[in-house]
This record gives sequence, C-alpha cells and structure tokens, in this order.
Amino acid sequence: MTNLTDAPVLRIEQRSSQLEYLISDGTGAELGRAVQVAGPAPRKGLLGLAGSGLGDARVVLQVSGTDGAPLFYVDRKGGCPVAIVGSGGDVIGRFVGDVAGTSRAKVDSSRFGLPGAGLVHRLWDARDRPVGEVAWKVKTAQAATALEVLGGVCVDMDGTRTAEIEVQERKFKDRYTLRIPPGLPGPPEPLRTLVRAVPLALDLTRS
Amino acid sequence: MHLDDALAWTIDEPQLFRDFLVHADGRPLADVTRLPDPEADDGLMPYPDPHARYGTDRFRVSAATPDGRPRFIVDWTSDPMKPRPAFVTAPDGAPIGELAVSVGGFGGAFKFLTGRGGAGYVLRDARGEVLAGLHTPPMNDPDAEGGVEIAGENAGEEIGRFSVGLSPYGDRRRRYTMRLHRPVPEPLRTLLLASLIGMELMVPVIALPGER
Repeated sequence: MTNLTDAPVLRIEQRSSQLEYLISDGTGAELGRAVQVAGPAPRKGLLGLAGSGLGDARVVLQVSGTDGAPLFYVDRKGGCPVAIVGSGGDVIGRFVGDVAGTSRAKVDSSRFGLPGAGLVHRLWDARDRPVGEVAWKVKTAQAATALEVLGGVCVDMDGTRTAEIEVQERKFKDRYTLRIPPGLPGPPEPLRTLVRAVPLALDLTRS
Repeated sequence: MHLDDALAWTIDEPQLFRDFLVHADGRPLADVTRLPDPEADDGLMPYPDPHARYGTDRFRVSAATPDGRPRFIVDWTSDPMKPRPAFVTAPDGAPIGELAVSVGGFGGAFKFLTGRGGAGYVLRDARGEVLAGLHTPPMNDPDAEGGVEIAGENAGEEIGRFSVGLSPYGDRRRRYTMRLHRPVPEPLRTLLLASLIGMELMVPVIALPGER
C-alpha cells in the first residue's frame, strides 16, 4: 500500500476557505490530511473574498498520514522562509524565495521589451545549503501586480527533475497535483520530504 | 595575526544563512553569528520557533574573536521607503558608528544606472562625522576592485581596496576580501571590519515581493 511519503502522485485539495487539505493518490485513495494547528484562522465567507486576512502572522500546518500520526509541519511566518519541520521538532529544510533566480526568470521570459513574469524558490536543507530549486510557470493575473501560478518543476542542484507540480488556483479551494517522475527511486532525504511539502508551502506564501 | 591588527581579511558565509566567518591566511579571525529575533515565540508548537533567525526585516549580527570574546555588533533594519544605515555598536550597545549608502548626486546616479559606476557608502563615527568612503566595483566590471578613501585630513587618500567575488559555498553567496594599505586608528578599523558585513546584510536574497 502506498503512503504519503512514497506515493508517486499526490493530489492536495483545499477543502474550504480554511487551511485544511485532503491528500490523496492519483486514484482518489486518501493518503493523509493537512490541518492548521497554530495561528489565526483565515476569514470565512464573503469576508474571505477580500483576502485571508492572515497578513504576516505565523501559521502552521500539520501533515499527517491516514493513521493521524504527524509526519511533518509546514511553518510559515511573513518575511521568513517557510520552514518544514519534522514530527520530532527538528527542521528538515526551508522553502526560500530566490530573488536572483526570480529576476533571471523575469528577464528570460520578457518579450519585445515588455516585462516578463517569473517566480523561483529554492529548497534548503537544515544547514541552509541549497538542495533543490522550484521554477514556477506563472502568468500575470488581471491585477497586473499579481501572479497566477499554473505549475512548477522541481529539480535538484544537478538539474535532475525530481517532481512536477500542477497548480489550479481558485478563490478558496486550491488544488495541487505533484508527480514524481516514474522509473526513479525518487530524491534522497531531505529533498524527498521537502518536495512533498512544496505545494503546501506555496499555498501558505500565497494565503 | 589577530582581528585587531590584520591588514587583509576575507569574509565568507560558509554555513547558516547570515552567519559569517572572517578569516585570513586560512586562520579564523572572527565568527559572526546572527542574533535571534527577540520577538520569536514558540506559538504553542511543540518545537522552538524555526523563524527566530530567518526574518528579513532586521538583521543583527555579533562578531566575536575565536576565543569567544564579543567584539562588535552590526544592526541593519530593512525599510522599503528609504535606505537605512547599518549601525555598528560595541557588544554593550555603545555606538561606534554606521555604514550608510551615500547618494552621489546626478552624475553618480547616472554612472550607477549605466553600470559604469558602483554603489557608494560612507563610514561615520558615533558623532556622525564621515571617516571614510567606500565604492563598490562598477556593475559592468564586477571583477574590478572597490576602494576605500579616507575623509577629513588627507581626504581622498586610498587606504584600502576590496573585492566582491563568488563564494565557494554556493552560487547565491558572495566572498568579500579587504586589503588595507596601512594600519588605521580606531574607530575606523572596527568600522572597516564591519563595513563589508553591513554591505552584505543589505543585499536582498530570500524575500520575494508578495511574500511578506
């Protein structure tokens, strides 16, 4: 039986305007859940249309398997990288905005002298060494200052593709599909866990 | 060779983000560690706040000699509205001086924007008197060296040069190397030691717009 830590496909669906997610494999079988365990709750209903209201507050998601035992935490605070923390309390790594990589992606995607759009994150291990990179496919949303994320590709520092992420951003119920390429043993730890936390980390930076 | 008399030193960021090592000839002169954010709290979670030393609003780093004796603190607060100086204080908080971005007038701004000039900084003592100016290499020639010119008496005399290169510890990290042509008196010496650390703290690396 596959579980959350070795399934080749993870579907992560936000259940409501709140930070609660159902995690399943490609066939719809439940693998686990992610629920908010710290921080203020996002606004509900019509108020939520104006934004979650979370601001820079610290928000923590607990990701657990079907038995309910915590596997890891995704811990976000405004102005800091998102920390991925193991169930024992040790930091596994961080999901970090990459200012230089994002600038390069914007330049690479610019056409006819018009400004391009880009978004790049890096994955650091517990000693702040880069172990992976996530290049997001984005398009400029209607409000020209905002970005809509369509998907992403995660590579390790040698450039080997370790995961592909499909993103369907909605007003409330965002959906993510993470695919680990077949035929590979999958990346070694800590990248193995970090890659699986990327959709939730992205969701928290955009909540 | 000691932190107080070395005429050349290199600054690296070998491990944790914003922890620096000042070294010369392969020997450590000072360990610079980031001080945790005083507002960090565990937020009822069963583990310590993982963000305690990862905020991008304010950076406070403390330099200590290898025997553990604290030497100075560099304190820089990020402000999107105006560039703020990096303050240098003694370990007990007594002000030593500051590193501030200098605005070079129309000509300087034109040179900077066209890539032919570098950024300019000034070092001021605790009373606000300018002791020296630093200019970084021009953007169109990043392998060139930056210079340090003294102010006041003998104004304009070059007292040192520095280079900014790629760090062997990662492609998003930098290595700074300073070479002084002659010994300089305090507090300029401490300010020069702190200057390149302050400059590095001002480089935005991990905070993307929209993530704060």
